[in-house]
Amino acid sequence: MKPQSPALASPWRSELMPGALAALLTLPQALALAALAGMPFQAGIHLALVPALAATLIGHSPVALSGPNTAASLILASSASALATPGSAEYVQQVLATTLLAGAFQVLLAAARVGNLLLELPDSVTRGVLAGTGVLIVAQQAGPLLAVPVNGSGIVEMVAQALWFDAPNGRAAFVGVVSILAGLGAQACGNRRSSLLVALLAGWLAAELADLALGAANTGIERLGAVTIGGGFLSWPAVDAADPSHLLAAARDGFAVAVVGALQTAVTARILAMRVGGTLGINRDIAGQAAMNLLAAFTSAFAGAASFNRSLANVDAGACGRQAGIYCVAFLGLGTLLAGPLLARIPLPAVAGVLVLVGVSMIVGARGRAPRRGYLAELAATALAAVFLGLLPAVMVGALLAAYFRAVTPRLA
Amino acid sequence: MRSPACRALRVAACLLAALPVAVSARESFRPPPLESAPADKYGALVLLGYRIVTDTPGNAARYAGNALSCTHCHVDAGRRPNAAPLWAAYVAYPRWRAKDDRVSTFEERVQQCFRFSLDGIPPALGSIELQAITSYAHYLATGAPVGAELAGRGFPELAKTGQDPNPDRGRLVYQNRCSACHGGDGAGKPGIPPVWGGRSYNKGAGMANVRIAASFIKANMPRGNPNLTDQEALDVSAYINLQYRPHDPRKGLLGILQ
Repeated sequence: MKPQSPALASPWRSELMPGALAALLTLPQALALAALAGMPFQAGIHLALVPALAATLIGHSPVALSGPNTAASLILASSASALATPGSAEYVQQVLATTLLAGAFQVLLAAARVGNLLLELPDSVTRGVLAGTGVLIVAQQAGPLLAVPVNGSGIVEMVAQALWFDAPNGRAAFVGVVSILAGLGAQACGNRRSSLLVALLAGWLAAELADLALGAANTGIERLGAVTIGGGFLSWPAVDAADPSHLLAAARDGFAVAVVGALQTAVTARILAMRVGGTLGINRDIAGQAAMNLLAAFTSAFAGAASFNRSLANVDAGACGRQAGIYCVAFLGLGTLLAGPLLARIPLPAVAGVLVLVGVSMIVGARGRAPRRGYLAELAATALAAVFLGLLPAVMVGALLAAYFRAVTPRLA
Repeated sequence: MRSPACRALRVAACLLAALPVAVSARESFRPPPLESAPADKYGALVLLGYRIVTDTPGNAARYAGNALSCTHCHVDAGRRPNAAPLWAAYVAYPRWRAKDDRVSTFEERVQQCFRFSLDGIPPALGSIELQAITSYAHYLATGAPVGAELAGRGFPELAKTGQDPNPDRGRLVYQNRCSACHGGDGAGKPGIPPVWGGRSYNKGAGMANVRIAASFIKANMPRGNPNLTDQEALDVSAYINLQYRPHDPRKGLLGILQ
């Protein structure tokens, strides 16, 4: 490794690599989460472009990466699919309206400074969410790693389906294992920051070699698929005014998306502050999310939130400023315009391998010395709730337990 | 009772009795029109499937790898008998296939169309594209008996002509009968599929088999006036399949070395 000269240490240079990694990680997630939301796959990329850029520029936390998010996609899908068929124009309209209202509610949440509530959360709860989400991210990779179609809900079903399926694809697993080993190897060699990118590229190389040697039809390694963007980019959210049930559903589930998205963003900001230092400005982060979702409604996208795994991968790759997020958007835009056929070949098991490394890094990062009584209990309870129940119950369980331990701890004077 | 007249009568009676059966076997299944698809979520999925089948690069852009659409082999959006109609395929699966040496489901068969004929990436099981195509085929097969070998399924097999396919003669057939639409370079035109080159089916596709492509050509080409002889169909099929096209994704470097 050459020592970096001070001139090269400018953030616009040092953030190039985290930005590239973020773009490569965002692509498959954008497509998968668009499908989860029942939207055309281009919508996921649309969300990761202009709206995500707004969140990066407006939000307080510089290294937080926002865009497509599992919880938001799930709420949108269950809301809109009750009223229309995924893929239909009516469905898209319903999702756009819900997204617009989610953004509007987040404007209110930011204005009411609700984010300050999250400042009261003890460190143990943040670490618990970090560990629990890390476990969840690792577990979610079981299916893609073994190339087994998993459609279960919840961690137990997901892992069980992946492990007890009768014919896992050994070649796909090989690609994932190469990714993980390459990433660990890079870490062992001291290239901590580049390890995730190395993991992805090594897995990609392994997949290409396997396809070249054996033929793509024989390896069956799942690829991303073409990611060209085009067609309608601008959109106008509108709901059928004659049928109030559509507007009511949009308002109800827009509020749910707003709250879950804000919570996810706030917890991400706290975790990032814990990992890289810096001040907290949760209300401004929520304002960034509001801007993202409002823009999403007008750019044929759908509601999102800050992403745990992409933000943490960003930090692991050495990002310190907003430049990585800006690069991510630039690479995504240029890549989908110019390198669609190449990016189509991103092997999904390699992406899963990278996410395993991110999840493990989250679990490891949650370790810390317990400074007081009850700390570990709060951490463990929050982590368990995050794994089995979800983010909102996890934060509530952790906060309640923390309040309990504070109440029963004898105080001086 | 043993008189020749009696025997002739019995034969005639047997023929008469067999006639309606023969007629009904020849008359192919009629899929319902798209307009009468139900106006519910299933109907919306059927419609999406129709849109994918008729414009695959446009409506299944993530997975389509070339300029072909399903409807280019499954003519009339999968409705026409003897052009691999989707209604006949839907009731024929799951079935054992030599190509896989195992029992494949309908969805897995569609995945293979994407892998080979569309030279793309197979949509994941459970993807909206696969759901839509399956729903569309299911709708076309409304009322068809499950598991039946319906008349008009696949492409009608050509009888043996007694001659090998001759690509040299095939070139002349192509120039006289095909190139007006498919172009002298085989690249097609907007709305007319390329029959070779980088934007056509790959070498692993069923159409890359000279006999299968010849069966399709004999029954369906030239469009609207399919009047090639069996030998002409074989010749032109051999000519087309000798041209450049994407490689067979089942064959890797190791296979070639062996």
